[in-house]
Amino acid sequence: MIEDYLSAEDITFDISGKDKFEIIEKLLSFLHERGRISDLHCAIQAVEHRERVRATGLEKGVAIPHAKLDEDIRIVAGIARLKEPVDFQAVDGTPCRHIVMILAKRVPGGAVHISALSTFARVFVTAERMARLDAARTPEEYFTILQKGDHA
Amino acid sequence: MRKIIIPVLAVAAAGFLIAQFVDTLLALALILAAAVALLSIAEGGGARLKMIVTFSLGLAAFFIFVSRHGLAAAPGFSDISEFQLLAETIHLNIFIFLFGLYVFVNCLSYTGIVGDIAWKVVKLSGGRLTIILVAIVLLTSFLAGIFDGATVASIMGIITLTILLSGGMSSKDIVSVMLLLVICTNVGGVWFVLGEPTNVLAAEKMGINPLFFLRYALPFAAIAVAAACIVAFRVAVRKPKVSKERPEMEVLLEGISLKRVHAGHGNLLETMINLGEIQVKMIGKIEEMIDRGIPDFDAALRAGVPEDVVHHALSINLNSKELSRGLIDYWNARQKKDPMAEIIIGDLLEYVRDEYKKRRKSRVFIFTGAGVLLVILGVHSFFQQLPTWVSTLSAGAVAFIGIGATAKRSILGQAWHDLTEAFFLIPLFGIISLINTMGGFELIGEKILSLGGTAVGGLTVFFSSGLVSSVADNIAVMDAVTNLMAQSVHWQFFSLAAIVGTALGGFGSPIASVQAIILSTLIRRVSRITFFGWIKRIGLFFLVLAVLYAALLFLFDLLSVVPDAPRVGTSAGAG
Repeated sequence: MIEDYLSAEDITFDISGKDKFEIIEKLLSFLHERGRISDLHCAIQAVEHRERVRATGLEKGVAIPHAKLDEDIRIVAGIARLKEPVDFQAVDGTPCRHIVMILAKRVPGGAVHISALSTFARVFVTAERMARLDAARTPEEYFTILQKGDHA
Repeated sequence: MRKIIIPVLAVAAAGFLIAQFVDTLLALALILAAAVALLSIAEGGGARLKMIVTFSLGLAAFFIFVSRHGLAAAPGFSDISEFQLLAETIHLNIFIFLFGLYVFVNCLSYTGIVGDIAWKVVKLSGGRLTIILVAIVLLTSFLAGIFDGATVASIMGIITLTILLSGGMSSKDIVSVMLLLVICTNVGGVWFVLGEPTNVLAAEKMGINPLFFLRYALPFAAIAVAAACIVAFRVAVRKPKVSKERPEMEVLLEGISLKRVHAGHGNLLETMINLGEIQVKMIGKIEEMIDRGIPDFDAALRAGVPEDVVHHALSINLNSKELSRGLIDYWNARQKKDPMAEIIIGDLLEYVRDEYKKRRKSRVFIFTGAGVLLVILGVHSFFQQLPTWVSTLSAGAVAFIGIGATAKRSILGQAWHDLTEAFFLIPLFGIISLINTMGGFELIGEKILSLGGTAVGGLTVFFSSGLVSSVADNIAVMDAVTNLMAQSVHWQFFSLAAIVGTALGGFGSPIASVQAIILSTLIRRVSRITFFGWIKRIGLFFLVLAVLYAALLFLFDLLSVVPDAPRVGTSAGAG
């Protein structure tokens, strides 16, 4: 369930940047300031490395940058709704506005982060829900819409 | 299984009857011929079925021989201390040699060095297909001389298929290029002793110096490679450039490759059978789907094998839980047209690239091992008392040091698995040895020589070994043929004819050699090719090459290029 991975405090509307790497750094800094991750430098390196291998932009303006870290975390997630969409080389070519960051502990087998990725990918599927997420006025409201979508 | 057991029993019974009422030698010859023929039918059934065929018929031949001549007359059985003779009969030295070679080539596959070279070629060529294909032909032929053809066929086959698919080539052209690889891994590899187990057998049995191959067999390889380059050029000319970037297909093909490296359990189906985690009724269904070009893990899932069972087997098979999970997740997502497939393939790419980066450190040991191999083979050229298996065993040991701790066991497991695939040959060697003890080969050898001199003898050896090895096992053919020439002073010329003949036969049909089987399975991913379709596509090349080789052999005899010599340091007398 979505609340297993994040809370309303892990969602921010205050990020902007000129490219996806700047957005990634800012979103990770946000999670670092909240104490969700301890080594910011390593996290930036890992996420950017993964992003360079293949872009993580999906469809309908959603991107899921992610990486595995050696930190003692299970799953850490954070969401940034950008003021201006940024190009994440998405599958459908649309610039992305909803950036879902997922960090997982590096474990043999690596299935944990895939299930988290699937959970988030699932809640962003409908156009109607995307419109509501675009219109959400606060992170709390955004989180509630996500929760309802996950339980639907 | 049933379609094999009945003919095996029938042949054994016929053998006993012929031995009883006609002639023992004829009975043994019939059993040998039947064993070789039945192996062609058993080819699809894997190593176990092949072993059932050869061990049953080997036992029948042994009983026939012992009942007529007594146990003491059997090679290696006259004295309990005659271990050396028994070891020579079953060519134990060749099995040790092959084990060392398999350890080395599995270490080589682990490092991913061949793939890197191939992709560097693509980059350097600027994506021009003509250069890429000619380079692939040259690289494959070069590698086929140093490593066994089956390994080269699996590595280069997958890389080539990836490049061609990413270049959007038509399936007809892809088939043409893949068939060229079959040629290159067979005749392209005759230029050096290590290229084929048949080369090793001929060298060990006849006491052939490794330099012999460079001196006399190299021109034959050169002709095939030149012809293959011309065909490759014609296929590629006026075709668009291919992408210079390694495509995501690389990951996919890595996962669905026919026979995975650093695995220890052969292919996925064999792994599931070994683990006892699959119902017998599913095996045929899965085999049928794999035959249609469906990836093995997908075939297993479609046949109803539970996902956790496939994941477990694939984890062992790939030596990686992560890669196994990722491949299954990717496949599931792709089937559902879920955009998550893109994310998963990216994760797989990252994993594979990081893994290869780690493995780069192992490459220095591979190069050192290759150096050790060449030095020992060089020393062997001058001191033939030094067994050749020392070279591959030492090279394998050096390369093995550089392998990551977790993969060490898998590499050994895979090398052992590769070796066991050749165990079915042991009884065949035994039958051939029994026939040799009775003077059967000497008799045929004399008949061939009486046909009309060295050239006719050489050409007879060449054509017969070429034709027979198109449908029968090359190593068994080589073992039998080398016995024909054991007593002749022209043994070097005849050996050359047999080496070239068996290599030529190795691409004559889709079951002619292990590399032909591997590449025909890869071909099925883009197009169906039947037994006769193969012969039709490759027939002209086969005939042209056969004529050119025959002419060159004739010329070699005319100019006495290959000198006559009495044989030294051989083991042929034993079998």
